[in-house]
Amino acid sequence: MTSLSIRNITKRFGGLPILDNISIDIEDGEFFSLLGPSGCGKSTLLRIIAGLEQADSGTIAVGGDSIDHLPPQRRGIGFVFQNYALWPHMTVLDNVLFGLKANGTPPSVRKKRVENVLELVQLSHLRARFPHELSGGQQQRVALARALAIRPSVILLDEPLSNLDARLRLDIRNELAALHRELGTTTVYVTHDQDDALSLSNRIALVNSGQVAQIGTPTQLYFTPQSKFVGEFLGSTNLIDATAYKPGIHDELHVSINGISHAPIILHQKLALASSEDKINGTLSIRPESIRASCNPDEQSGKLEAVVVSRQFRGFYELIELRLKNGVTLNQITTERSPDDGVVEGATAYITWTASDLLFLPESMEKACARA
Amino acid sequence: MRGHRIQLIVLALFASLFLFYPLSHILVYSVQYNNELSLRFFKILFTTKLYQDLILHSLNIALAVTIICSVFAYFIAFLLTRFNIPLQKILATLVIAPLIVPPFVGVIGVKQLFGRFGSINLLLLHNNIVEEPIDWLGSNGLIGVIALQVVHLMPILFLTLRASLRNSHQSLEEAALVSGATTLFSLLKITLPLTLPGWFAGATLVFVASFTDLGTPLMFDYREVISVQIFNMLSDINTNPVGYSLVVFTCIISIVLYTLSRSLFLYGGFVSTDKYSKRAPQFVTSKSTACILGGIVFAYGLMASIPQLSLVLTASSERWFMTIAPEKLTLNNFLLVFSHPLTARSIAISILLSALATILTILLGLTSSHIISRAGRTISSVVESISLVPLAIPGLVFAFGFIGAFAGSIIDNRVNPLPLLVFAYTVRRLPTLVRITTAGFQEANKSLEDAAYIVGAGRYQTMRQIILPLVKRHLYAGALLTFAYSMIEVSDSLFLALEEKYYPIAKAMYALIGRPDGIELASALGVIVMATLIILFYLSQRLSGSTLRTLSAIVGILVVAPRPSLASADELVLLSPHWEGIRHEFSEAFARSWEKRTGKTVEFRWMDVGGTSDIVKYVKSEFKRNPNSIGVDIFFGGGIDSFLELERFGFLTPAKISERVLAQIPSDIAGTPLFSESHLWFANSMSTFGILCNLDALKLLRKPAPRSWAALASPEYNSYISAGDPRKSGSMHAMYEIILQGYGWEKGWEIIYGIAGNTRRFTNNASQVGKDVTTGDALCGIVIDTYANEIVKRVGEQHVSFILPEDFVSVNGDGAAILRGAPNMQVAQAFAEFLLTKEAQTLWYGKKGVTGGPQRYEIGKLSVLPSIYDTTAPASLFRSNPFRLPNMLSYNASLASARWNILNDLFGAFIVDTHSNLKSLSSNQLPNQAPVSEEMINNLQKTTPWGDDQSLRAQIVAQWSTQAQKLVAESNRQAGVSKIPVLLLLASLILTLGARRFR
Repeated sequence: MTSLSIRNITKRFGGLPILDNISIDIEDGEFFSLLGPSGCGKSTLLRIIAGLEQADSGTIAVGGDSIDHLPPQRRGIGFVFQNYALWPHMTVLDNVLFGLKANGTPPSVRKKRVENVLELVQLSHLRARFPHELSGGQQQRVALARALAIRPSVILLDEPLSNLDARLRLDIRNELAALHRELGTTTVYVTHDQDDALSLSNRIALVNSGQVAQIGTPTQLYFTPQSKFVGEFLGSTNLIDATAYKPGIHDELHVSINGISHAPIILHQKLALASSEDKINGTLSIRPESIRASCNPDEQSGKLEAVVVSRQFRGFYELIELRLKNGVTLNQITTERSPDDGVVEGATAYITWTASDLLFLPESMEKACARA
Repeated sequence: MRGHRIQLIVLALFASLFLFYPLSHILVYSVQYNNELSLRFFKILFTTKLYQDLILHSLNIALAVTIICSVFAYFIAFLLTRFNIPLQKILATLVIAPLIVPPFVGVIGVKQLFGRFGSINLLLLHNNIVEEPIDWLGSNGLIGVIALQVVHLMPILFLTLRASLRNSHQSLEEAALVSGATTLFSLLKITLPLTLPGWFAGATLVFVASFTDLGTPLMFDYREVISVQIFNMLSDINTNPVGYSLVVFTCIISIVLYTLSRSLFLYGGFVSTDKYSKRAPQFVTSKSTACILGGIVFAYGLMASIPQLSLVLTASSERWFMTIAPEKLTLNNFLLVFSHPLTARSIAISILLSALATILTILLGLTSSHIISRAGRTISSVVESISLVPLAIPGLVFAFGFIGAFAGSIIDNRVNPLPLLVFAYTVRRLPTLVRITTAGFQEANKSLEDAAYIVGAGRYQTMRQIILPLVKRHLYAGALLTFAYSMIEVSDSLFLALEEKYYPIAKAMYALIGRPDGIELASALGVIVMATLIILFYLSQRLSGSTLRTLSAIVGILVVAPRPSLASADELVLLSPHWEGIRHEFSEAFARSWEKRTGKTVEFRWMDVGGTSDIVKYVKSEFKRNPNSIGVDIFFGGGIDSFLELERFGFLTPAKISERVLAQIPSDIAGTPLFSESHLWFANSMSTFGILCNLDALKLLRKPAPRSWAALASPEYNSYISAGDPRKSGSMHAMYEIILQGYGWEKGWEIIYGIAGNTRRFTNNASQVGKDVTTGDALCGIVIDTYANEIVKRVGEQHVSFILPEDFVSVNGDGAAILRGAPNMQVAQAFAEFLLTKEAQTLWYGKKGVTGGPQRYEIGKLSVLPSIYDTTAPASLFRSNPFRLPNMLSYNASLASARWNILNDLFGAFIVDTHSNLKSLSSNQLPNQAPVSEEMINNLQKTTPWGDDQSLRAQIVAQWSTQAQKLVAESNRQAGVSKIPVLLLLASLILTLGARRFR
């Protein structure tokens, strides 16, 4: 069992909380991402797991056993640094061998293990090179090989793709996924890039200001964000200030966009309200891909009106910017291309959407999330 | 990227003029004999054991210093970067401080503390802990040389290692920890190897600095190193080409070593893994542990400050003789620094020179390093190699080259050394600045600069707003080092500045140390310089290193500093071995009389090229270069043997002295003439020679005072005699000649061998003998009465005593002469006549305050005017009329003069240069006959005037030195130094191999 349990970790730097009572349970063999904006504390959490920093309070356990008392060299955790931290005075081989020498692995075992690992990352032919003689991607793989060579129970990756160009990023991302499938090592991956997190992870913890905003599978996080922050961070959803109410206790939720008069949007969303008079403020999340806009006046009845601000060609899709009457801008993504549909700059468009794709995020929950 | 055409042209111009031209000058002269290409002088070098030994000694010392420095530097840099030690900045300043004190200044204080009768030994002796004093500094001063160089040079390595340790990226060590390495393992395998490039950069600097250091061995009179030998050869640069070939040889060795070690230690290259700058990791320790570690650093700092602390003590002592602490403290010496013309002016000159050199170095260095880090591969490597050339070339070599190469040009150092000094300082300091700023440029990304060009910034704007701020810290460190080092630059200053009014600080201190009254003043000057630099250093560190601020501070000082006065007047250029007191009294008195006669002022320009022997060599060498005039009016002082020598070469012009004046002076004393018949030279005072004894030290060791020359050869004085090198000092030469004439050639040599066997070391400087005796380093020394007088007066007759030998006394005239082609003939003639007037004679002999007597200093030399002995109260120790002495040696001056140089070379080869072997022999093992027969010596002079054929002379001297080595080597296997090198070479081999593994 090499599950990783993070319990009530708090860390302050000069009085400022960097990590505020964080608890996460990562399962054996899971590929788990810590996602969040720069400075949210995710790297610090990773360093605390590795033993490179001490938490002010809280506990880290691997396979159910606390490792708080262990120095980094005895935790058996692999770490890939953001800058790779390859030792410039050692060859690829020496870099990878280092950990095995340090922990006293017998030479015969060492040799075999290093061969395996180098093969795994496809670097066998470059073993005699020095780090500065390698490309960025190759350096990245050396760093990975070095972390894997000691057969870690958990491997920690600190923004490993951030120094690579877009194309290489994709390749390595795929390689990482393949490696994880092959080795099944419990992996904690720190990134600020949602694409990395969404494509690689079994589960993601979205971290904001030292707190976990939401934990869940990529789909859960993407489709059912529990707060404006989560919704905003994952994908480019449209967030519009809105008010929700229920005409009757058992009615569906009625949502109306602030500043425009329109027929209420009816959502099948469960939300407990005290009474029918209770109106709550919040945000309406509309995914750009669920918006449909038509400039055909025949389809105008009962729909929201907007002005087409721009229409941008984006390869396999198009991005259409729409402005509502209250000045709020909505983005629409469409893959249906019909140049003659009349959706051109300045035209009036009539908007519809699939109600099931809409989500109302009450303000109170936002606050509740922030406290969690 | 834009081209660097203009910058390249400027650099090329500077390099060819001040780097390649002087070097090629040396090279050309070393392979030229009678205008033909010849390698004969190199053959002499390679076949002479003396030179082989010299090179080995120099290398060993440099290696030892580098290794010891490395150990200290690593240890302290590690403590200060990795632990949360309190007061880090102050501790670091304490550790760095010795860097800015020239090591040779520290010698004064160190001798005072660790000498054989220094404070430490006196403490031990008085408490009966030891019976014989311990030789802390080594019998030949070797330990002292190494210790002072270590203390002085360690900060270089400390600074580079601290920078490497600070810059090493945290994640590199963390990666080792998470890979399973223990802290120690990670330190050894990751941290240490990563600091090797930094270490290497520092170690090369340290090695070369130690290898080429002149000041320290010179002050310890440790002569078995190349630098001192080259220094000794400088005065006859135009007549003795062996000097050139030794310089070339040294230079080659230096360059080869440098390149070799560079290729051995250099990595394939380094990637900067830095994207997110993080601080180097720190060990978290408890407060008390941190304090203990801080205490260790403090202890080192204290130890390293011993030379400075004792310097402060010396500077503030009024009298410090054979006591554990100074008897009386005073602040007068510090005040005197600012009023004494020599010291006050030297401070101003050094600041001026250093500031100019720093500005020039920054301009050239920044240009070079910018090209190195930004231009194409070929150009950058060429510029880099050229800019680093001076690193591999000893300062002495440059000084040697500069003097020769620019002789007769508008920047001839004999006329005004200031321009050449600025260029010399710049060339010498350029590599350091280039290295430091290149590192800065390499850390800063080139794209930052390109970005500025792209948005339309011009070259100047980019330089000011982008480049300079990027390399600010590096530039600031480099500029500071340049300034500090220029302030205390030794070899260039010693070599190039020949006139007191142009002396930079280092030369002024050296000159003061050579004077009987100068030690305290030199120490005070040292303390003031040291304090100023420490304050400057500390302040600028606190000011977070703004280059502009440092520069403005320097410029500020420049503006405030008193400028050297360059008012025009009649002038008189003199070469003289006389000390400050004599110079002062005679220039004042003559200036008064000149003003009375002509209404004009006269400025005295005292050229300083060393002792009498050096002056004679210099005059001959200069006349060879320029036969009509050497720009000097008067040779003032020195025994008449040297004047006879110059007369023979025809370098003198008759002095027109009226018969009325001459009539009062006897034509000879005890057979020695007092003036030449054609008035080419004339004695104007007289010297006698004898033995100076430290009575307190003799009493402590229960030994009697020697009463005769022969007694000095007695084994009971083994290692307790001080004597000087006759090649450097005329008075020393005279004493050996007196012994040889008094006892006859064979018996004389037996006594000389006996004295040499007892001699602790042969000093370069006659006045050093007196100092050795007062510090108790030697119990007795052979001295001229002038120096003895001064010392006895200062220390007190109950403590030291000047003994006139019972076997025989010799009185020798001290001459003066006008040189051929004297530029200020009228003033020179007047000065010559003045020297024989009653007024001048009273200056020599009379007490301070006597009518017409000296005003500030008491000279106490014998007068050539017999009448004065009956009328004037004497300042001399020698109170009877020398013209009526009974046991006077009848001295054959013409014989002495004829063989002057030959005897010097003979004595040098058989006594001084083999002295380390000689003194290890017991008294009955010492040779007891003359190495060469007297007849042969006299014939050698007659058949081939010595010095006319330089090649023959060099060959014979080399033969002698081989013969001398053989003579003593049979009964003695070398001890001492030669054992250290084996160990050191082994250690360096291991280190080299170790470093190779990390490649």
